[in-house]
Amino acid sequence: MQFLVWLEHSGFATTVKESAVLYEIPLVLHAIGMAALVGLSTAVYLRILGFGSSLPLAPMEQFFPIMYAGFWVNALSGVVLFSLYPIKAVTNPGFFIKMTGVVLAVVCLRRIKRQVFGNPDVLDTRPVPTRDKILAGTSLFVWLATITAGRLMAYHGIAGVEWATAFAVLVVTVMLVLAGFAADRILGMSSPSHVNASVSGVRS
Amino acid sequence: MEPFLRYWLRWPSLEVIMAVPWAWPLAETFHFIGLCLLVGIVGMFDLRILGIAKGLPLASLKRLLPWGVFGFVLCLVTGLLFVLGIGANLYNDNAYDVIVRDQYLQVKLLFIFLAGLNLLAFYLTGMSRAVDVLGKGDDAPPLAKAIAAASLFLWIGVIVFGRLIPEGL
Repeated sequence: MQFLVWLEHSGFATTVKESAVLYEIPLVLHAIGMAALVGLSTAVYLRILGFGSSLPLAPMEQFFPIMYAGFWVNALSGVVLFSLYPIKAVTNPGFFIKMTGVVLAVVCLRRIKRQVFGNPDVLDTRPVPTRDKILAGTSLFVWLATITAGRLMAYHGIAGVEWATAFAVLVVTVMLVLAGFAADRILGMSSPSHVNASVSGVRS
Repeated sequence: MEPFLRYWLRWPSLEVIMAVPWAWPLAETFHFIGLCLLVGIVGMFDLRILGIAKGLPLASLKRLLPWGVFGFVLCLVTGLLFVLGIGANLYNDNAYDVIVRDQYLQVKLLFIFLAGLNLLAFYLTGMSRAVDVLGKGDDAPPLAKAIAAASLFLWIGVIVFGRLIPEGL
C-alpha cells in the first residue's frame, strides 16, 4: 500500500495528471487498442459462430498480430492509467473483475488460435465444430462483461449503480439477441446452413 | 436558427430517462460495444482492401458488414441519448450550447459525416462493385485502397475525438 501511495504521488503520475494532453494520451490509446483487440476478435468469433459462413477462416489468422498489438497497447496504457490512481483502482471491485475478464478473454483468444487455427489441414474443410463455437460464444460474453466492468469502474461509490447497470446490460443484450433471432427468422437474412461455399464436398 | 436548434435539441423525456442512475452507464457500455462492432468489422473490411489477409474473398467478407452496421446503429442510438439527454448529466445545460462550445464533439460529428461521404464515394465511384469480384489473393484498385484508408483514418479519428469530448465540455 505504501508503494501505491508513493506511486500515486510520484513525479510521473503528478506530471501526467496535471496535463490535459498527457492525461488523455493513455485514455485514447486504450480506446483504440480496445477497438483493435475486441473489434477484430469479435469479427473472427462471429465467423466461427457461423455468420458469413462462405468466408474461409484460415486467412483471418493474419489479423492476430493486430489483435495482439491492441492488447499490448492496452496493457501499457493500462499500466500508465493504473499508476495515476492506483489506490482508487485496488479499492474498486470493478478493477479486479475487469482484469479477470481480460485474462480470461486473452486465454480464450489464444485457445481459439490453437484449437481453430492450429489445425490448418482440417480448417475450412468441414463445418466449424460445436466446441469451437462454444469457445467463441464464451469469448464474446467475456468481452461483454469486461467492457461493462471497465466502464463501471468510473461509477464506483454511487449506491447500487454498478449492479443495476450490469443487470441492465445483460437484459438488453438478451433482448437484442432475441430480436436478432426474430429478425433472422422473419427476414431470412442469414444464408441457409447448407450453403457453405468454403466447405467442399460436405453433405448438408 | 439558434432558438430553433436550442428547442429541438432538448428532449425532456430523454432527460428523465437518462437521469435514472444506471441509464447513463448502460448507454455508455453499449456505445463501446457498438464501436467495437463497427470499427472491428468495417476495419477488417478496410484492412482486407488494403491488402491484409488476402485469402479472404471480399464478396464473402461483405456478409459480416451488417454486424458493423448494427454496431453503428448502437452507437447512433446511444449517441443521440447522450446529446439529446445531456441535461440529465450536465444539469441545466443544453445540447446546443454543448455542441457549440465542445470542439472535440464538433470534430467527432464532422468525422462521422465525412465517413458517410466516404461510404457514398465507395458506391458512387463503382469501387463497391469493383471489390466485390476480388477473390483470394486479388489486389484492390488504388482508389478502393484510398477509400479504405480514409475509412480507417476517419473511424479511428471518431474514437480519438469521442474520447476527448469530456475535455471540451
